[in-house]
Amino acid sequence: MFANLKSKHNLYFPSLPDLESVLNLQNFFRLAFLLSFFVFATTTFAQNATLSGTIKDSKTGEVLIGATVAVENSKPIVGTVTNVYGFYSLTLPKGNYTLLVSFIGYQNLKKSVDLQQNTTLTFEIAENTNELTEIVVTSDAPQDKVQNAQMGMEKLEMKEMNKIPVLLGERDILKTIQLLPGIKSAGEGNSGFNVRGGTSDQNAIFLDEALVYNASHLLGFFSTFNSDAIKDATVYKGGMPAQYGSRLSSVLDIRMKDGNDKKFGMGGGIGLISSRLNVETPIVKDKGSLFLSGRRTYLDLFLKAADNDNTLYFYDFNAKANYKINEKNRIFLSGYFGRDKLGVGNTFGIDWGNTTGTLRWNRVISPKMFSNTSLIYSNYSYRISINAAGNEFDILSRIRDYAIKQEFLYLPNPKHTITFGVHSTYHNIVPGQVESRGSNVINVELQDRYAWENALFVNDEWKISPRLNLNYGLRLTTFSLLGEGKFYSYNSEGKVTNTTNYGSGEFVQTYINPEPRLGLSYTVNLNTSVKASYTRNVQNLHLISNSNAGTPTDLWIPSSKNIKPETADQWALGLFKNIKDNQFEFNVEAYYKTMSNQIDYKDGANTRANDKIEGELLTGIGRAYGIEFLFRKKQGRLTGWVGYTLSRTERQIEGINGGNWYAARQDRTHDISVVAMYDLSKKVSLSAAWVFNTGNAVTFPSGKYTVADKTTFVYTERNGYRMPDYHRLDIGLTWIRKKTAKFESSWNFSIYNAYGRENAYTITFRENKDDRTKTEAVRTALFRFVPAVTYNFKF
Amino acid sequence: MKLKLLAISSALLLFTACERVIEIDLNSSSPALVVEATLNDSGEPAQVRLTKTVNFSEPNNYPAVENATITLADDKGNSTVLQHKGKGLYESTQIKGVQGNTYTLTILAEGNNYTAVSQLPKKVNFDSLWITEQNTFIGKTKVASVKLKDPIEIGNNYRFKLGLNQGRFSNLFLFNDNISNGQTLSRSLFVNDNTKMEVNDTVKVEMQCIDAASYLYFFSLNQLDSGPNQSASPANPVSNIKGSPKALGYFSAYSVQRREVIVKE
Repeated sequence: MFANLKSKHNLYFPSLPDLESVLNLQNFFRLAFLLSFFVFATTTFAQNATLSGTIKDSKTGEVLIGATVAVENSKPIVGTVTNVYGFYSLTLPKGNYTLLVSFIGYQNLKKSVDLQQNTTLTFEIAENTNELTEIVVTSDAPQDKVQNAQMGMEKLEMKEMNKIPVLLGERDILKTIQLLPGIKSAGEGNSGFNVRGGTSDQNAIFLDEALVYNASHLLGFFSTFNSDAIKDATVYKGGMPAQYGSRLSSVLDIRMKDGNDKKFGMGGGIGLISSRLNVETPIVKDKGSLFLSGRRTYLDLFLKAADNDNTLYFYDFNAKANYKINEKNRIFLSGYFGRDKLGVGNTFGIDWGNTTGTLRWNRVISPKMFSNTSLIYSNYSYRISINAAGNEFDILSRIRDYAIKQEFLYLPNPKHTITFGVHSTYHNIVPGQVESRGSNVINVELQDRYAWENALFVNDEWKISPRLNLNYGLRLTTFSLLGEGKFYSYNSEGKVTNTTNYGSGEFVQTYINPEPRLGLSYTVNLNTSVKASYTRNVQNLHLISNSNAGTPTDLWIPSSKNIKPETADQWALGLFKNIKDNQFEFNVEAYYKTMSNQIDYKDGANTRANDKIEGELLTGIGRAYGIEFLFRKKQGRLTGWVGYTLSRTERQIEGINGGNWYAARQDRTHDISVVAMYDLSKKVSLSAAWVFNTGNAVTFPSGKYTVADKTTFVYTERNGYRMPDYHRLDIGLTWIRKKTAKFESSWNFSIYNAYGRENAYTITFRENKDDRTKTEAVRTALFRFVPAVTYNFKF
Repeated sequence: MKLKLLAISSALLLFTACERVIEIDLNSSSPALVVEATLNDSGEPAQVRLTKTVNFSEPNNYPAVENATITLADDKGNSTVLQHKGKGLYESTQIKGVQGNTYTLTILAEGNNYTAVSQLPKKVNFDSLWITEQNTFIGKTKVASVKLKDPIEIGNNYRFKLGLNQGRFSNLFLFNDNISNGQTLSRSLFVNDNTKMEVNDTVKVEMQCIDAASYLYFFSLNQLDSGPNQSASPANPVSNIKGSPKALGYFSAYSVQRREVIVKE
């Protein structure tokens, strides 16, 4: 694909930043050398054998992510955790062992093994059917938060998520993670989120490794993730391992269900505004399966009934197939298709959505080495249709990625878990292409943009001693802006000073950035550890949007000669504690983050249909800091958590606010969430979620005047005011109507904003309609007492 | 595309949003000079209105600045001092607006000096004005549409004003040829209040050819229209009035054409 690339960029004549990169490149190789030294230095040459295989759900055959295999009663614990494909590998001195296999929500399994040679063993464990049985999870599970060096990470429990009440009963990953400390909602009922002071475009959201560019439906009120199709979701607020990158603030890694490879099953739900249906079936029993899931809203049917010509709906479709060729090779094909449609009669219409596809090949190269190769496709597009004033045309905009990712997992001994690989992505951005349908042709074409992004990564989780764990790695990324096209240089006023033409595939600009990742934990005692981490992240695609709420007309622009890569350096310190035999969990994390090349607009910037958009942008620096507390009850009839975040996030950009620091829009001082789930009986469970946060920073007027027949307001400082405090209580009830081995059905009732607080969605200022000599402030509140009912079934 | 409007409207479709007038304690700011200066090629006098800003909580009575000295000059060596007509309105007929000329306005007000420059662009023919019925969020309504042929040279900026009978809408209708240079432009002038055109109403449209600085001013003024809300970070419009302390407002020299049409069945 890139064979005919001609190099014309300044890599050969490094400017200062490039020189730095080259020096860092040397550091990279030095580190790689040190890494291999550590790994092999700690390899003992005793008589070892490796036990490897897969851990699966006994009923569905679904592989389990993050399940544990450990030697029973080993002190310090000797064990390992399954990777995202359910693979584990454990190298032990030859001998007799009793192994304990465990996973949250599953019954423990004990198995005696006489390990004399390399052995492959598949474990199948059963889900806890009786939710009320007290399961004592042994606190020596290696995946335990206390026991490893990973910080800033949360894994979502799908079962738990399904109980938490949400707007209109549409259970939703993106809204559930907003209840965790450090992750804030971008607005009322919004699936957009801000992590540790970042903007919502600084989150990398992966669905089966494909980047999802716009994860929202219906202008943010719903996310693109149909919870029926999701197996696992992990969010990183910082300290992400080196295999993750491309965005500044966070990573949300979502994995789709593989489907039942033992028997046919169906499930679904009927709700007030949407319905869901999923089907899973073996292709060949115990060897391969197929999972299909769909969802559609039917609000438009009510509109039709009300004799309204307007259109408003969305749908999603998830599909996944997998097949085990033999014990060593397995392939997966998964895809997502979703679309929103919104239309006003025949005058105006817009539809938008994502398409992703992933083809994967898992290969067990040796008992200690696992490989995954992925071919990934991701596409986000929108189309605006206009039929007015005799103009009939469509505007099409699109961002499309083709990627290949090769990842190896190497487990030389129980002390090291090494991940390394490469990731190469080709981006094609179509900012706006006009297709005329009528007689009045408007021939507009914004230039397409091309970029090539590469990452080389290596990461090692090293158990240095029973008390000390180190998680260290490096991600080396390159980003090249490619021709063809005209590229502009701008002066300080944003006027074009120079235009250069590049041919197809020519390098316009290349950036090389090393991203070191480092995490260290020290276990004070079995139940307490302290951790520290440092993370650098780089982002080379930047979202141009004057909204924080995921509008469909998002425009992504690549790093260029004018727009430099965004970088963030984050330092974090944490205390992790398990209390009362792991019944409770208490975490505190404090972080400090600096950011460079943060983007904002000039006053009066025209960001729509503008080929010279870079001239309308300003860049500056940012800083964010805060402390997050999480107290969680994990077992018993009452489960849930209390989260509190105290934080600040600010920007300093020449040309905004007189060049002084100002609070970023998403800055909120206090953020509290309380989530509780209570099992009333085997059939009925109650849930409640209460949130409180300080209002966003906002710009309000400090005076007024009249110009062009309009009352106009005077603005003196950026984000100098606060929206009112926000708080809300949601309550829910789940009633399991029937639960047998063959059929399961349940009802879910919920009320969003149960005490009807009028939270400000917007505050606007206007002339009083009755008395034009006065002006007034108007608060708009959106959702109060929104009830929902959903019927779910599964057989 | 008024996506914000769409966002809120779709939410409205889902539920009834609740609007309420509230009290907010807003900061006060020291009064600033507001300049609204126009000159066109129709022989109408050059006009400058000087007022001052007031705090949000005060009534909409904007104090006039009455003792200013205002000079208008063209690039052909002519200049004149504007006469104060009362209530902060200054006028002169001594300098005519001529297409292609550049005008400089000099203001001495309350001890501070300000200058502004505007070029009066060449006229582009206002081709036609007509009324059609279209679907909008408020249902089927009659909408005025305009058409013009943009010339080959890039950099044309247009502003339209829409009037209905004796009244006038305050909407700013702005177009330029940034991405559609040299083409026939036809646009509908959508109005986002509930006023409907009735049969036999007179629709009056004024077309102005304005310079780039005036366009930027009105464009940025228009961006404020949706008000400060969750998504935008509002700032004062980009003014072409230079001086210190900063003044608000604009000076626009423009060519003008007017058309009328009676609404039929």
